[in-house]
Amino acid sequence: MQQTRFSMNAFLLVAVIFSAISYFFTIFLTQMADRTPVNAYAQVEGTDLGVLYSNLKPSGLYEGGEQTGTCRVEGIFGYDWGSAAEGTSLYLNEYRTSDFGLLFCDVVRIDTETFAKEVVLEDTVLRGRCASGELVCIRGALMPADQPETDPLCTLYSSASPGLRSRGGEQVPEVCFLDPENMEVLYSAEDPDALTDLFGERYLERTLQEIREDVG
Amino acid sequence: MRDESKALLHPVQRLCARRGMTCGTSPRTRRTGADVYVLLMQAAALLPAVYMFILSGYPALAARRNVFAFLFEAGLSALPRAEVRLLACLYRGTARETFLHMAMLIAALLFGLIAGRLLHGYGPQAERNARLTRIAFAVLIAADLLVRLQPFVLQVHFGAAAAVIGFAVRAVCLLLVLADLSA
Repeated sequence: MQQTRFSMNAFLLVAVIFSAISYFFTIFLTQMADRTPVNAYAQVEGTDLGVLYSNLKPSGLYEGGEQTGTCRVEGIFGYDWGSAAEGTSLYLNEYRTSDFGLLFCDVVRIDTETFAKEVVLEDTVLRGRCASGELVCIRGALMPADQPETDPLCTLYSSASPGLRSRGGEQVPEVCFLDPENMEVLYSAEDPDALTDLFGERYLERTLQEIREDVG
Repeated sequence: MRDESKALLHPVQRLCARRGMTCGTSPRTRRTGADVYVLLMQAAALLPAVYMFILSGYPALAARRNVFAFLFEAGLSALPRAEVRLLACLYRGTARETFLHMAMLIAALLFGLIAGRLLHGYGPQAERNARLTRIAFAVLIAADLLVRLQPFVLQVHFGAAAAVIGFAVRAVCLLLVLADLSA
């Protein structure tokens, strides 16, 4: 009979094969089997464009209405947490989901004439405009639903992102005010409560000058 | 005639000895310090995989701190900083935990296969090549330890406990490889 001894290399090979099979069942098949219909459409104010999130047809930016419109840019875009139109530029949040359900967000600019998409701010959430018209974004922190305080995968992701910062595992959200014409940062301030429901009354309902005076 | 089977402890060994087989009587394998270093690094790559494997089937695991999350951090802290940086960039670029998991395990497997070949010598000057490989490993581990002491772009900010464990594991690896060189 052949003598055998423990080999870590063989164990790792078995782990790779077993992991691939396991992920096929836990992730791939689960996603395929999820047939819950989802269809949400929101018109972008003042334009003929709308953001569609659906699993019945491709999600993205549609022109011409929900039912008969044409998909101009594919992607998972958000409108509920802020969007802004400035001339021929449309600023939206574009979401990326991971295999385990983590949600990452980038601010993108879409040219409404050529429908070219450009990522202007990575790992940043656009919240809309303040009362004086500047774009208000939150950067430096992942969404609370991702469990960044307890999930070490978020820490690993943050370490490779220049837009995300953490001090000893704690996130440091930063509120930024940008000029919508050139996306220049006009003002920024750290705020641990930036991702709470207080954001609207603190930043969106006030002018930049008032916020500067308040923060000092 | 002396009954050899009674000198063996395990019942299976005694049974095999009576039938003239050598099952379970494998000779002790001598592992060098560098071999133990390779085993440690492969084991360190398995720890994060355990957390990710459980998380794929039980997402609520991420909602609170637990021992598997600590093992994830400890395992990644024990791996070389450059490798962790590359894994982080892969994760951020693809946003796919499955890619991260497979890359980690396959990198550990390839490291074991290649290091095992290099550390036991190759070519006509096998002993010299093996010694040169050990020297290169010692230099790389020492450089990794120096990086951990600096506030550097390669740092991954896990908890202090994980950072201490990672530093200690790398220091032990350096000592193992240096012990091999001095032997």
